[in-house]
Amino acid sequence: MDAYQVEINDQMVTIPRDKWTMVVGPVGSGKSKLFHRITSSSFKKKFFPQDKIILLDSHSFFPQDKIKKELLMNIEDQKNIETILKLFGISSISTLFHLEPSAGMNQVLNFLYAYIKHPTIWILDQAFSMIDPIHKKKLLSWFKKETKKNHLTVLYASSDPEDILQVDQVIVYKEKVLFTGSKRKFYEEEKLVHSLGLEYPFDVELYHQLKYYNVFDKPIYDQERMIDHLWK
Amino acid sequence: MEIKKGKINVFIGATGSGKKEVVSSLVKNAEMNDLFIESFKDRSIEEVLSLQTKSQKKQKEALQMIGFSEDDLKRSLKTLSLGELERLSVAYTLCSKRDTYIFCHPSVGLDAKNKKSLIKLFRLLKTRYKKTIVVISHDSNWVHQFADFLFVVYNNNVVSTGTTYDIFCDKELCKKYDIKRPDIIEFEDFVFEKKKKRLGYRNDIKDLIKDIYRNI
Repeated sequence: MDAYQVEINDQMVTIPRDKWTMVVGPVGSGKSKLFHRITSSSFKKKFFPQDKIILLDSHSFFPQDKIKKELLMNIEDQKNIETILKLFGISSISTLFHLEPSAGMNQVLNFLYAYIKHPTIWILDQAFSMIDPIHKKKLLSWFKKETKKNHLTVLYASSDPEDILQVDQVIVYKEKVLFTGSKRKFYEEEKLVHSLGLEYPFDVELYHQLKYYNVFDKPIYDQERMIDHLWK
Repeated sequence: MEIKKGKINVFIGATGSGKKEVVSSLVKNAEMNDLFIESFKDRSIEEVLSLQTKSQKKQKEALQMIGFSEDDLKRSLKTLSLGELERLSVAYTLCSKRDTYIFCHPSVGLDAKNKKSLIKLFRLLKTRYKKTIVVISHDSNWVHQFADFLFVVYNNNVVSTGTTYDIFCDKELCKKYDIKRPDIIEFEDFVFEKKKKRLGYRNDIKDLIKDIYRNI
């Protein structure tokens, strides 16, 4: 089976296995409530009986001492843990014990703690929201490779529209599913996206605003191709 | 070094650079929003705002400024989303009587529409209420639209200051201190690099579009 068929508010929704699905919606649309429902034992039993699910959100953190201890004692994933810590300028796991982490660093530690539990389904609800964009991009890039290698499924919510570039599928949610589809199809839903007060990644937003000047004969979402087309 | 009074001062820097610590040491007698109100999840909005001010009038005014209605006063914090909690923490800050407000990552969890509303609020606080605003944020695309002055933080120190033009147009500086440059500026640079066309320095995509159209 290459997808989960999940019932959300009386709608059957397809969540592709081993892929990243981003859930977008305006503030207060119920995304977090949805994620909490998905991780409830009854929901999990019905739709993900064989899977281990973990939910990370922006402000619920595992106890710091517990995280640091378990990361230090973990041998199996030590190399990967150190790779991630080095991204953030931390030379080794033992350095963690002298560290008073910032909000962003707390999110990184939370993520590493979840990583060593080896879930098969990850639900990331603004889980990297306090990490700066440059390091977040590096972390996401590393994690994408990991999810592909280990056949992990990710449900992702973020208020950063650029994160859409990382995912395979998009769900637009406001108390119910309003759209499900590929990134490309999502880019075509301009009216829906803007009516909900959302925005696209910069290049896509640029295309949608420029198209009203009749400068394109077909959609171009890639910046380099866009520039080549505009200044032929 | 001092923040600019009556202006919108933004502190940017990579994760762990020490932004909050630097702001705390530089800025005294200020009110800082913080999602510590998460720890009051069993209380209502009214109860939380009452920690700051007993004046119902001030509470309602603060709620209206962030797009809530006075009916929301009785809502439990448990019913609020992350974005709504973030907006409430802004309202909590506004209920204080200070002249300086510090907003720590206020755009986290907010959609585009609410981020625009926050910008309007900051400008209102600055121009009508003559407040000094301090914002800590990673979101270069967002702060580029409203910051009067930037402080770049690295390793618990302010390493550079200037306008958004000074900081974001300095590619080497941004690379050195892991500051993501706004997409608009990176686009303008890419156009110049590829086509030798210089577009104007813009902080709004609508103005960029007009520039592009004039130049094609």
